[in-house]
Amino acid sequence: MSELHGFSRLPREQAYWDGLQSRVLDAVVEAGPGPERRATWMSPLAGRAWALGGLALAAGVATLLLLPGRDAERPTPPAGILRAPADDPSLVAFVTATAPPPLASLMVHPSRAQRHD
Amino acid sequence: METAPDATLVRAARRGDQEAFAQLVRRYLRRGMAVAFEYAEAREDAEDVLQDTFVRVWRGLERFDPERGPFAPWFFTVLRNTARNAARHRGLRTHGAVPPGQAAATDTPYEALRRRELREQIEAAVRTLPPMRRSCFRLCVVEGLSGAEAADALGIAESTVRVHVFKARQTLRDLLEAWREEAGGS
Repeated sequence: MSELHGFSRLPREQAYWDGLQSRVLDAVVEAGPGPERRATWMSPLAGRAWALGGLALAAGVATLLLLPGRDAERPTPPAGILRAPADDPSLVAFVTATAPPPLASLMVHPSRAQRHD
Repeated sequence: METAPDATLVRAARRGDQEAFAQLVRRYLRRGMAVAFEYAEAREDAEDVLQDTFVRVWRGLERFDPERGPFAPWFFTVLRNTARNAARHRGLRTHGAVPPGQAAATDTPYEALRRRELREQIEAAVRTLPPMRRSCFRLCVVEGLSGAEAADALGIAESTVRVHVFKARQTLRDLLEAWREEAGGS
């Protein structure tokens, strides 16, 4: 079966192999720098990895410390809204009344009503 | 550099030495093409697979440590993966891209005809082999790779390659004997 070498699908012409080799090498060059050269531009950074990491951590901590707290940022509501205005005469009259107030008194403020009178 | 071991070339290439990598390309070009042909029968596809393989190898050299093992099995693993990916993503053209037989200059027309018939019979017989057996047979017997090289190329044990080649030879011998008897009797 020595004749079977003649069955090879590989081209025999040296020119073909030279061309294929050039094509492959062109593609490799186009693919960019090799592993070591890629590592070279990263190596200065890698050498300072601890320092850079420490700086980043410090910056993070400082940011957290300097940020105003949530409570500080929340706007304080006007005291009048939350506190019951005990000195408001209309409220006192409403709460202490024995009978429901007339509808008109609810719709028109007594002070305004007095002014119109 | 021509005779430098793979590991030396790999170490140099890892330092960015393109000439060392070119030497690796020269060294693995034919074997790589033979293996690529096992996955993509069209020559253009096999060339694409081989080119992608070398680019991947170049980019991935930092992951390969020559102290931990030889280069060839890693190279052929990358090649097989590249070929499988290519087959999955774009579908490789497959056809019997076997070049026509070379008739000897001294052949009479009858001898030339017999030679062509024999060739066709052998090709047909090879195609009947199971895929792995066919690959082992082609790589070892037709392309001249050693058992170890074929084992690296196909990712199987060398002993398995030898068994496949032995059985392939047996099958082909039987088929060709049957054809000879048939042709002689007719």
